[in-house]
Amino acid sequence: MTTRLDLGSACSRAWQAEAALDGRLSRADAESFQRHVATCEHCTREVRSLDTLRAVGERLTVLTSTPLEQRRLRQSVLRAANELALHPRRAPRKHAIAFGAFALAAAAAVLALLVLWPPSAPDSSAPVVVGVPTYQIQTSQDAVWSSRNHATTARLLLQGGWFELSVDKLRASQRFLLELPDGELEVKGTRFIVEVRDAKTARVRVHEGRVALRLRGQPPLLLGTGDSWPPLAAAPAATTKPIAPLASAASNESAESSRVRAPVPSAAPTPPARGTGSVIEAPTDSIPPAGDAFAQAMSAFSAGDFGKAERLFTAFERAHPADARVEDATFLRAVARARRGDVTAAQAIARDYLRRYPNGLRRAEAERLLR
Amino acid sequence: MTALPLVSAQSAPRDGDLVAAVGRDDLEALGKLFERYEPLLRRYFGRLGVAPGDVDDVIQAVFLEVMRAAERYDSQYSVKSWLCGIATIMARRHHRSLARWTARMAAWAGVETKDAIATPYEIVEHDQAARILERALAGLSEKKREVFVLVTLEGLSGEEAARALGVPLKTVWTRLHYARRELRAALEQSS
Repeated sequence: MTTRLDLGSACSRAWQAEAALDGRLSRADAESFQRHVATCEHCTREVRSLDTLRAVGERLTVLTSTPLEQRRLRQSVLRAANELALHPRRAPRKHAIAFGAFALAAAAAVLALLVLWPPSAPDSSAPVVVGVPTYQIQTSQDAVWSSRNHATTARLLLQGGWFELSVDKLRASQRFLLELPDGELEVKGTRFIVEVRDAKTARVRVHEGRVALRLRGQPPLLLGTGDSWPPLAAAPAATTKPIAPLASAASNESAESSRVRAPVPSAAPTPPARGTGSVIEAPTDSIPPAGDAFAQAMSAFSAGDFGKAERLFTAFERAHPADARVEDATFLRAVARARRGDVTAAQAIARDYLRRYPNGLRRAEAERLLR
Repeated sequence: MTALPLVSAQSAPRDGDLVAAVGRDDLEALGKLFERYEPLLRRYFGRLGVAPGDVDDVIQAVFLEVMRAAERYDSQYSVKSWLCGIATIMARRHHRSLARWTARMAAWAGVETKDAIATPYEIVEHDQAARILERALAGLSEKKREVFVLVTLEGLSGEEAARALGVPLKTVWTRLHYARRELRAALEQSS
């Protein structure tokens, strides 16, 4: 097939052909140009030539993949991403030389600075220490709460009122807990609202991220983005909400507790709840479905509670031995044990994994655990 | 392989929600993004001249970069243009890698590569104008080719392309104009 395109243009409006195609003309100008095209041979050819270019472009060879190729690549991507998630600080191998050179140069620069200007503060070269989680809190005027921080755990005691929290993403060893009158709520880097009334948790709404809500006498819930507790049908008819936030704080403070007490609450309707949380831990006298059981274990794992995660993965393996996720559960048990510092036991589990799944998806990571 | 679970009960989460979940190390969300955008990225890389044998590696690099950059994603822009931006950077890196330099040296030395020779089957299957355009597209500068592929072939708006490439909108239109001019000239010349 051959295509004849006229690049010449004797009409001053020919440039509008491209502009109209790209949507850069106003409606009036586009309509005017359309009327003009009907009477101008040059512009007609210009429009046709652009259309031809686009039409030929649509016939260009397109790379595609078969479903099998796509699945293989997907698996490869997820494996690499998982590795990245587990070892986020490791620099890519191909950049190792450049990174090493940079590190040497930086070290030389620091040394030179130290020689020229001896530091006044003795701890300026101390390694980065993971501290208390950082967060921002806004409260209603009647809010009563206090905070207690210890090592890498932040703990807020909420006694009453309305709270909106935004918690920065937590590192592996960090925990952020809200103690409620009737339970607790654990956070993993998120933005959410909690309301406590009459010594009870009245409402939780998650704007972003995930929280685990553990109320006494009820199965724990995992609430994701957009989820609310209680669900719509069970939500109270009306409750209180602040007119304007009173307290706002970014905390990375000391281990001492603080207390805020404000005078009078102001009434306002509760925003409508939407969605519901999914149960992550069933009562102990029943076997949870495989999906829930695995989700519980993963939830504990991602929350950094490796002891609980290991127990739940073990229970999952026993209750659902034919499930495809048993392989993952075994491997993650080894990781959980390693994170708890018990390398010998972690290696034993890794060996067991390799024995049961010699060609398993986690083989490389399991072998690394044995080194 | 299982990663952190995607907890939301929504059956078809929006792209932006998936990126936010990836920012929380949710690999299930990353898998969903992969399923949605792998065909687009494969097509895009093919049109940018990445060799078919290298496309898988570059796609993987894109999704690992998505993992790293998800927390910085600005939800006011489309995920498609954001991904195209990352993909463009990856394609540029790929083109500039040592292997590409070796291929160019071979080309300068007069060694014909397989891609330059169309088989009879390809000639029959693929019409002449498209092959001419393909060759002309490969001869465009990187910047012009990126704009042409994104706007004309992938259907991004000028604003989305500007966002993806990190250039002003007027630069997009300028590059697109010159890209079209060169491509139309190539088609005209051959005919």
